[in-house]
Amino acid sequence: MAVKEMTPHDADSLLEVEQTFGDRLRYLGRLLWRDKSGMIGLLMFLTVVFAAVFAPVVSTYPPLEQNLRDSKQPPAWYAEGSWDHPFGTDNLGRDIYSRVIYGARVSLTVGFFGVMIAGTLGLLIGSIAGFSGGRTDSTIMGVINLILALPYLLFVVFIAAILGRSLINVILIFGITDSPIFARVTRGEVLRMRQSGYVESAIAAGAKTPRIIFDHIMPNLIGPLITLATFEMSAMIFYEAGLGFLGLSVPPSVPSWGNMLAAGRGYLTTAPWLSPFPGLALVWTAVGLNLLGDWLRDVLDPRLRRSRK
Amino acid sequence: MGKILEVKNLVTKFYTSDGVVNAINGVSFDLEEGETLGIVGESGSGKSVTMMSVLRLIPSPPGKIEEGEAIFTSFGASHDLLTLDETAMRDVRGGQIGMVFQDPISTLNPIMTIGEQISETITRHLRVSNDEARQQTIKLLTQVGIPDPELRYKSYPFQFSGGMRQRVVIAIAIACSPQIIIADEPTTALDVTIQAQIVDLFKRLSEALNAAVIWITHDLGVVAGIAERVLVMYGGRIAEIALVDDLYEHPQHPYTVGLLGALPKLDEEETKRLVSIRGAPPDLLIPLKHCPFSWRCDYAFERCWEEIPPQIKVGPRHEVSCFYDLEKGGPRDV
Amino acid sequence: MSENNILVAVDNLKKYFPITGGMWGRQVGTVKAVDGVTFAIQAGETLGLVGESGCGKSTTGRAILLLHEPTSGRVTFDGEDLTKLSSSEVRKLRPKMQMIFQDPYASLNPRHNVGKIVGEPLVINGVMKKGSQEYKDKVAELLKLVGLDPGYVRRFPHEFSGGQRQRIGIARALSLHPSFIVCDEPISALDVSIQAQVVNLLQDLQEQMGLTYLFIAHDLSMVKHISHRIAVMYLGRLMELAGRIELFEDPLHPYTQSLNSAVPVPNPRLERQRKSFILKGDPPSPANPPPGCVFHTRCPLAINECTTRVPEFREMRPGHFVACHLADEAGSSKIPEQTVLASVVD
Ligand SMILES: Nc1ncnc2c1ncn2[C@@H]1O[C@H](COP(=O)(O)OP(=O)(O)OP(=O)(O)O)[C@@H](O)[C@H]1O
Ligand SMILES: Nc1ncnc2c1ncn2[C@@H]1O[C@H](COP(=O)(O)OP(=O)(O)OP(=O)(O)O)[C@@H](O)[C@H]1O
Ligand code: SF4
Ligand SMILES: [Mg+2]
Ligand SMILES: [Mg+2]
Repeated sequence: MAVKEMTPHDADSLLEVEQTFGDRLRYLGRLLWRDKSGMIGLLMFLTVVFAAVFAPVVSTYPPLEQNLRDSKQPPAWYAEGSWDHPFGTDNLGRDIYSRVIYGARVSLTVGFFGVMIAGTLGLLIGSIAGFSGGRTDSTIMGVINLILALPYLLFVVFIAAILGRSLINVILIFGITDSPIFARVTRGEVLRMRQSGYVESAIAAGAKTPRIIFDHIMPNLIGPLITLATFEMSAMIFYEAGLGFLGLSVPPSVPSWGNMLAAGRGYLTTAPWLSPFPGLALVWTAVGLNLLGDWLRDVLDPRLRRSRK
Repeated sequence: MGKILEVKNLVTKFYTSDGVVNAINGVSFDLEEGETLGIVGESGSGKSVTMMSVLRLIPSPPGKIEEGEAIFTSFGASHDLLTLDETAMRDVRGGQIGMVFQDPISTLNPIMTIGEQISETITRHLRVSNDEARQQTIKLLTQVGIPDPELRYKSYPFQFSGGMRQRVVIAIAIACSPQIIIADEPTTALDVTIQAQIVDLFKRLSEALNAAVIWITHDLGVVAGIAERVLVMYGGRIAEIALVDDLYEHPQHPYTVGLLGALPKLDEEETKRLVSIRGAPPDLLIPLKHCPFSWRCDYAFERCWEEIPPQIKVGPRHEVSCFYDLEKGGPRDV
Repeated sequence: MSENNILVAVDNLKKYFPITGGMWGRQVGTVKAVDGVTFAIQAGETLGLVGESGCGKSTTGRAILLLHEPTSGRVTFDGEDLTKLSSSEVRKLRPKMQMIFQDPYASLNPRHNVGKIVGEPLVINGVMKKGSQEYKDKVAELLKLVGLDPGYVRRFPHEFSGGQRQRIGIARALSLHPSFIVCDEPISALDVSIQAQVVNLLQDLQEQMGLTYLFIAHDLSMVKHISHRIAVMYLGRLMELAGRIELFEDPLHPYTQSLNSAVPVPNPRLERQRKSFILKGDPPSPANPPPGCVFHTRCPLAINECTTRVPEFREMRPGHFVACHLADEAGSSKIPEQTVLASVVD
């Protein structure tokens, strides 16, 4: 054979890389360590998940337990406060710390299931548009662009007002109204990949459509969609709180950050500590998710992994 | 003729999360007044970083110029561009040194008309009124071959084709009658017929301005036509630098020989095999202690694996970084 | 040229793309990417296809492989008219015709390892079972064939250099023993020293396996080196087609002549003496091609007829086709030596 092999030297300098699964995990760990902001984001988000999952353990009082004698107690660091209620109590004497902890459950439930529904719908619609092309594609994209052109919050508030207050309704509203964003990203990626050499060469080798979808397109969609899901989850958690603040989300009895913010509004002068804690929890979660999303965007793109000329 | 630019022992590194990229590892060359110097080399060999270092346009972080001097002599006064203060440097860039980059889109501002962009450069560097700047701009547009300059003054970059945009960038580069024009792959993104237009335009303009030109490219054909002297870069170092005829007819570095051999001969009757250079260029993340070409080289001997060859003078205006004397057929005595 | 040696023939091939606009995707225009192209490739031959960016070279290659459904015209492969076959019949023929892509970065699935990439066509066509010893041996053999270490099978594309990736793409294209390969600018993205490696590899493989290539490029000198015959394309049409030496030494079409003269030669002495005709202006858009000869807006020799009547693509000499009204034996289509056209308004 006339073709010359590369010398071992080139091969080694070009290709020192991880091979086993363990190596790859260690590699991910190294990436996480190197990018401190991704690490911080992940930790911030995990604290929220932990609080939500282990709420009964982490909290100090049942979130709904009223104690009118202890109502409007300030946080511990006020002169009148006590460590019994570290963040103080609300107008009904409920422990704010425990309610913030339980509030994470509502937020994460809405965020998680909302994104699941939006992601599934969007993936379906976007793939259909991207694959079929032509008239179907332009019609679907027309509808999607129309929806995306609507003022989002107004739209959501409108539907929420019609449907009434329940957790399921809130999840459905976010799931459905947010699906166009997932659909648009999916369609864009599908179109890009359909024109890529690897899909074309699979077609040229005689591959049928299902193989192309499941072997080439789907695996490459996961990265961008997970990244998008992280950002959208953070947005949904924020919007849920917004709806709660307007009294359009879960019923007022349910401890949610939005409801707590709304309740605190009436006591800004007499008990100003009611609103900041759910507000801070909200910001904490959103910042965590956004840092995590930024990091995921880089890590999940195999093209960015130490690619060499 | 005096030397207008002297670069001495330039070292530039990038501190990235993957490690330290040893992009430029001690590069020295000079440029005479009015001369055209071609810089060739493969992708990643450090052509752009060399020029960006001289102009102090290296993004920092991650980039850092670690060592070296770049003495710029203009109207009898010499300055080291690498230590000049930032205000003076801004005057040099776009003023005494004009620049043309590969991608005209990133150079031009998409929301300003091309006329405004050219006259802005003029008013920034020269003390002229807006009206004079406008007159000057229209003259420049004519010079670079844009039809209906008065009308085109008000056009936006997106209304121009790639070749026309590159003409606008050239107009900006020559707006202040620079003494040096640095062109980084100005025709790489263009089709051959458009490339021929731009090369021709460039030749005539630099002659009219009597400006020195540094023309970066990886096309050995373009260099043969435009340059008086050629610098071959490899792995962040200079492999060879020589007058253009010497380089093409008596290449002294095995890499240069390989590059020229890898080109198809246009006059060949029978298709012969191309002479290819085996292997791949060095990974700049790994600092080398030997010749960066050693594992691809047919002439490598022990010394090539032990030391980095310095730039050795082998003739008038001919330097080569190689321990092996191709003409003699044995190691050099250095 | 004997008729029965022809492996691939394209007859008046057209491929139009709709330009859609507005929110509902109304068709507002048509890009005539390929507009009536006719040529034939003999078995074992390399036909070069050159032309400027956007002139329709890739679209031609893809249409031949039916990766784009041709708008009209015929594509014959080994005597069968592909445009008349059902999609399952086409799928059966696909292994015989493969493609190598321009961008070595986008043409390999970043999530598949080298073994999977190279072996995929085998699995798709049920030639071998994935994971079987036979399959592993075949993949290793293919990698060796293109000069890569078989030990690389578990590595991913991003771990390779451009030239190595192009070899992986070539190994993939070879896995089904094709007889015809469309090489769409396989070396444009590579450095000179690496280009030579890939070109040599393609030539060696052709010699060993009797492959037929359609070699698309915009680098004339490399096309001249690798091709037996060369077709020159401009704005969706063929301007000229001739043997490699004839096309360079005696080009009949003014476009071929100016293309030839625009290519700089890597020889400073020749380059200094060389007289070049520099074409004016830019190529027009394929969405709005000029009437008559598509080249007339830039042609230094254009006459009135060129602006109205499309020149026929005719065989001027045996095997030398040209589409120019002026082309004749007297040399009327030759740009005169002294016509060094100014590119600028001085
Ligand atoms: N901002 C940066 N960060 C990290 N590394 C960089 C950066 N800019 C350049 N480099 C590295 O410096 C080296 C030299 O790059 P340079 O751009 O000078 O190459 P070049 O010769 O101009 O190549 P090309 O022909 O591709 O333009 C490369 O290895 C490149 O990866
Ligand atoms: N899928 C597509 N949809 C719409 N237009 C297309 C499509 N593919 C190509 N075109 C258009 O068809 C024309 C010819 O494109 P093609 O890619 O064949 O050119 P090319 O000669 O290969 O150019 P290059 O040298 O840049 O690769 C171009 O104007 C291009 O914009
Ligand atoms: S120094 Fe040695 S290895 Fe390097 S190019 Fe010269 S002969 Fe080859
Ligand atoms: Mg560069
Ligand atoms: Mg193409």
